[in-house]
Amino acid sequence: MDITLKVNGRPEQFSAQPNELLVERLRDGLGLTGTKVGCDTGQCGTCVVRLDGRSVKSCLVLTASAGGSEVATIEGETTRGGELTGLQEALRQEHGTQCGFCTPGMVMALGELVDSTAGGAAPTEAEIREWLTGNLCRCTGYHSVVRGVQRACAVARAEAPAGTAESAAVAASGAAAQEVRGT
Amino acid sequence: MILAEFDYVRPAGLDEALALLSGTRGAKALAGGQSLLPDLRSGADRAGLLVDIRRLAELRGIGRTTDGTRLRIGALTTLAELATDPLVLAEAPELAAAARANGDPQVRNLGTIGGNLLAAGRATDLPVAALAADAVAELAGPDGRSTVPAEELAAGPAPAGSVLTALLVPAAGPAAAFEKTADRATRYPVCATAVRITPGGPRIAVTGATSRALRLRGVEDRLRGGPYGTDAVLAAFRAEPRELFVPGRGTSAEYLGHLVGVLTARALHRAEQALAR
Ligand SMILES: Cc1cc2nc3c(=O)[nH]c(=O)nc-3n(C[C@H](O)[C@H](O)[C@H](O)COP(=O)(O)OP(=O)(O)OC[C@H]3O[C@@H](n4cnc5c(N)ncnc54)[C@H](O)[C@@H]3O)c2cc1C
Ligand code: FES
Ligand code: FES
Repeated sequence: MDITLKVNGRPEQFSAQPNELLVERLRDGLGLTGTKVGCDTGQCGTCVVRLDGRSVKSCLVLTASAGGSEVATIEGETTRGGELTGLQEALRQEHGTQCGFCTPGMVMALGELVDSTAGGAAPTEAEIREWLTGNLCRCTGYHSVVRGVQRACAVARAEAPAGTAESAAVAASGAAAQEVRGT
Repeated sequence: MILAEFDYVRPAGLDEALALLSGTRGAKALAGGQSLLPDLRSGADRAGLLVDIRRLAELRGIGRTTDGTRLRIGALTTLAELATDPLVLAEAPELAAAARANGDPQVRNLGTIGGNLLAAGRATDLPVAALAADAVAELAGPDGRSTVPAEELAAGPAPAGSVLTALLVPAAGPAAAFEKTADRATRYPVCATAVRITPGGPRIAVTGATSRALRLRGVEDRLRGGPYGTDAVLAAFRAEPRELFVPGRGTSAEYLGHLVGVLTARALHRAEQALAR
């Protein structure tokens, strides 16, 4: 069947079998191998992409059912110059990525949390941990990922009014460390 | 990869969906796919044609019924929407809590209330909340519209060829709660309980510990008039026939019967606290 999709802002048109999964189209059809397959059963979260803005597991979506939608993958997160997004940079600084296999899924899942809370209070540590229930990580133990999200949220809030990014990041890392140790 | 082969169609409206579902052998509705796709992959379920209803606008939306006493929740409301909807949080808090306890954010973003109520073969979270709320399901079928109490829906498969269009939920205010012990790996309930405190007494429903989601009228009768202290609730559960509780994977019937009693005591306590506020 004929399907059109917008992937990272680019229109794609192709023909697919009804039983094809979105993750198969992204990796095998479109060569976007940043999206990983860890379990193929909906448990691990390495295949998370954004579908019309919401984070979803691309191994639990039919390509046909995604037809007409906008898909965002990890490849679209980084600007063309290779610069990291605020969330990616914060995860890097907090050592929130080790082997890196879970990282694309983490970034796509956590991106929705960061975006959806952008206008208001930063998510609490409990909310961040709850948001991570769909993403398994074998390496980090999650603490550094949580700190990364806290740093990203703090930097974004500090940048919004005045203040330099550098002093905001320093303040953010202090706040993040305090909040994690305090619980 | 899904090895099973099937056809796929995306109907433009509910009438077309109903015609496809009742007129095609092996046709199944596809909503969020968060139960159906894993089941098709594992072979636990099969389908000849998937009728994709996910985008049907007429099955969405949350509002009050015209008389104001009930909420009407469209079947394609996602679990994420249900968990955060202000009206549901205020008037049917056990449903919002059951949705919030479901899986993870990605499953909740796609999974729908209709799919969770109808997902066969496994204990799921929403049916207990619907039982405690005394909710009624609205169905559309080849022979027109009908309503089915949540209790009947939990007892057997939905009539073939029909689409669940909405859930009608009596408005309760804060007097309701949901508690769950989740399986660490799958997030599905080991057991879960939902309670609603009404002027006529408590309504109590459990799942996971029993063969399917059930209202426990014996426990309700024993607790009528309160108080709902932990000891009284556990005693009310111990008075149930032993066969009511069935062993699970690595869990004895005795353990599940006790655990679901503890969860119920917690839920009743929480609902009472919310009422007093
Ligand atoms: C990783 C993971 C974790 C999960 N954890 C939990 C959990 O903790 N608790 C829990 O309860 N569930 C859990 N689930 C299951 C999931 O939440 C629901 O069962 C799922 O959301 C069902 O909704 P759906 O829209 O995806 O239904 P689908 O998968 O699309 O459909 C399920 C079934 O219902 C039928 N159906 C769907 N909508 C309608 C309708 N409107 N009318 C008629 N028939 C319909 C379909 O034909 C199919 O038979 C989990 C799933 C995954 C993958
Ligand atoms: S590959 Fe999709 S959740 Fe693991
Ligand atoms: S960094 Fe290795 S799995 Fe998460």
